[in-house]
Amino acid sequence: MRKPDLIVIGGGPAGAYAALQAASCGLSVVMVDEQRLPGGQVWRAPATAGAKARPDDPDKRDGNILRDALNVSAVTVISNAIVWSVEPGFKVSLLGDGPMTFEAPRLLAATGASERVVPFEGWTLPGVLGLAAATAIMKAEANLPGQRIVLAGQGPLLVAVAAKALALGIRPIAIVDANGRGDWARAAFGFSKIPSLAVRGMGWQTRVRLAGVPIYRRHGVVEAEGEDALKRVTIAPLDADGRPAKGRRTTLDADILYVGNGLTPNTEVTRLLGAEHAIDPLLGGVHPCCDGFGRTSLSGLYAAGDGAGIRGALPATLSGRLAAIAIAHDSGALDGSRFERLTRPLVRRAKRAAQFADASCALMAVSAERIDAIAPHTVVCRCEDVTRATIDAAAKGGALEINQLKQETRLGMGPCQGRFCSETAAALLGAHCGGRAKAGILTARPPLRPLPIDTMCGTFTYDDIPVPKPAPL
Amino acid sequence: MGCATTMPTLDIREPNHDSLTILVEGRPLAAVKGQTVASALLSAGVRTLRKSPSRGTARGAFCLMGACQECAILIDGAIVRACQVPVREGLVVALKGVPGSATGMDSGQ
Repeated sequence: MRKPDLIVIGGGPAGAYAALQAASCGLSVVMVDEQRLPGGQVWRAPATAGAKARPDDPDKRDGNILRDALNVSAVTVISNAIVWSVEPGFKVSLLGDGPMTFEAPRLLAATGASERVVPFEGWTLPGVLGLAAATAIMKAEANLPGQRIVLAGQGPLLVAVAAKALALGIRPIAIVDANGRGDWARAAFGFSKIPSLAVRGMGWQTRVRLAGVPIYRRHGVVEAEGEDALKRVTIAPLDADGRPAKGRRTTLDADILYVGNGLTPNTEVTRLLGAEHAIDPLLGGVHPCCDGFGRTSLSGLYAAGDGAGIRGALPATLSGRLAAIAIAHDSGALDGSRFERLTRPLVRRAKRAAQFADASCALMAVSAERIDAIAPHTVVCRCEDVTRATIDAAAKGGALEINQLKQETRLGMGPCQGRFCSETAAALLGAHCGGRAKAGILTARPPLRPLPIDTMCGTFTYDDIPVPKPAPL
Repeated sequence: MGCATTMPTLDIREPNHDSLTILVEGRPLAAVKGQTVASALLSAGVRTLRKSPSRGTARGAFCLMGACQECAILIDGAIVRACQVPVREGLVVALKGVPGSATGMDSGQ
C-alpha cells in the first residue's frame, strides 16, 4: 500500500471524525482501531440481534451515522488492530489478522480513555467491574450481567448507566454516588451550555428517580467481599473532603458491582514518542500538551479527544476535526484562509462545549483525601498485586518518582502497563514528595499491549535467520 | 440422533441462528451470537477467570474494553482477552492451564 498522508490511532468520536475530515481535505488516511467496529466506547456498535433490534437511542444513532460515513469515505479502516509500537517518523506497528506496519509523515493519537477506579479493599474480586464496562456490554449486547447489581462511582456515566439499565428492564439494587445534590446543582450552569445533552441528562436523572432505586448520595464503596466472587459491598458516607466517614457503614448483598470514578486519558502513544505532557486533574490526569488544534510538542504528532484530556464525546468530535484541519494545513493541503474559514465555527462550538466538559469533569474529580483514605493492605496495582503499604514503604525508602516506584515495586510493569494504577500511585507518592506533579509521569514502553510472540514471529526457517560472518580466529 | 445412518435426517427445530454453544472446561455453555466470550461467561455466572500471578487471588473480567488484561485466558489454545473475542460455535475456553491462572499455578509463595 502507498504511504498514507496520515495515520489515525483510534476509531472513536475523535479519531473517526478526524479521519473523515482529513479525507475530505484530500489527505489519504489510514485509521486503526482496536474494536470490532468504529465508534469507540461511547458509540460502540450493537453486536447481538437483541441490541440491533432495540429502538435507536442517540448514541446508537450517532454511531451508525459515523459508521455509514466511514463506509462510503476514502478512509482505510483497520479494525481489530492492536497497536503495540509507534516509532518517530512515524511508523505504527500493529497486530491485526497478522503483523502489519504503516508509515506516514503525520500521526494523530485519538486513543480515548480508560476508567479510573479509586481502589478499595476487594476491588480485584471477580464480580467487581468498571462502570464503563457496563456501558460497553449494554451497548453491544443490550444486556447487563448480574442478579443483584450495585452501581457506584461518580460523574455523568453513573447516571447514564443507571438509566440505560432501567431502560433494558434491569433494576440495580442501589446506586452509590460520590457526589451530593449540591455537586450536581453546581454542574447545572455548565451543562446548560449544551442544551440537547443537558436535556438528555435530566431525562436519565428523572428515569432513575421515578424507578425508585435507592440512591446513596455522597457515599463511596469501602469494601467488596466474597470468597472467590463478590457477595457483599460495604459503603460509607463521604465527608466534605471525600474521606469515608468513620463508623457509619451500610452493607449491600450484591453479586455484581459496576464502579467507576471518572476517566483518565490513554496517553501511551504520545508518551512513547516522547511528547511533552502535563498533569491536570480536570482533564483526568496526565495528558499531552497540545495547542488548540491538537498539535503536540513533536512536529507531525497530533492528539485529539479524551486521549488528549477528558472532555467527552461531543468535544472529541470537534477536537478531532480541528486536528484534522490543522494536519491538512500543516501538510500543505489547505491554505491559511481556508484553514481559518474551516476552523472558526468549530472553535466557537468547542468553547461552548468546554464549559459543559468542565462541569462533567468536576463531577469526576477525586480528592487527595479520598486517595489518602485508601487502606494500607488494599491492592493499588492489580497486575502485580502492589499494595498501598508497599508504595508508602518504597516512598519512605526514597522512591519519590513514579518510575523509581516502578523499579522498586513492579507497579505499572504488568500487562495493563499502569493504565489502572499510575494515577492513584502518583497521587499516593505526591503525599510523600510534595504534590502529585512532583511524582512525575510513567514512561511508556513497547509493546503497548501484551502480544502472542508466535504471531509476531510469523513463520520462518532457520535459513531465513541472518548469521553474521564468524570473526577471524 | 443415534439413527442418523439409517434415516435421512430432517432438522425440524426452529432455525435459531442467534444461539450457539461454546465449551468451557469441556462443558457446553449457551451463548448469543455477537456476544464476547467475557460477557457469555459473566452472563452464565462464571466469574473467576484466573488468579493473579503474584499473590494468587481470584480475578475476573474488569474493564471489558481490552485495556486491563484481567480476562486474558486460553481461548482455542491461545491466551487472548476474552472481552475482545466474539463467541463462535464450538469455541473452546480453558480456565485451567494458563500460567498463573485458576489452577495452573497455585501461588508459588
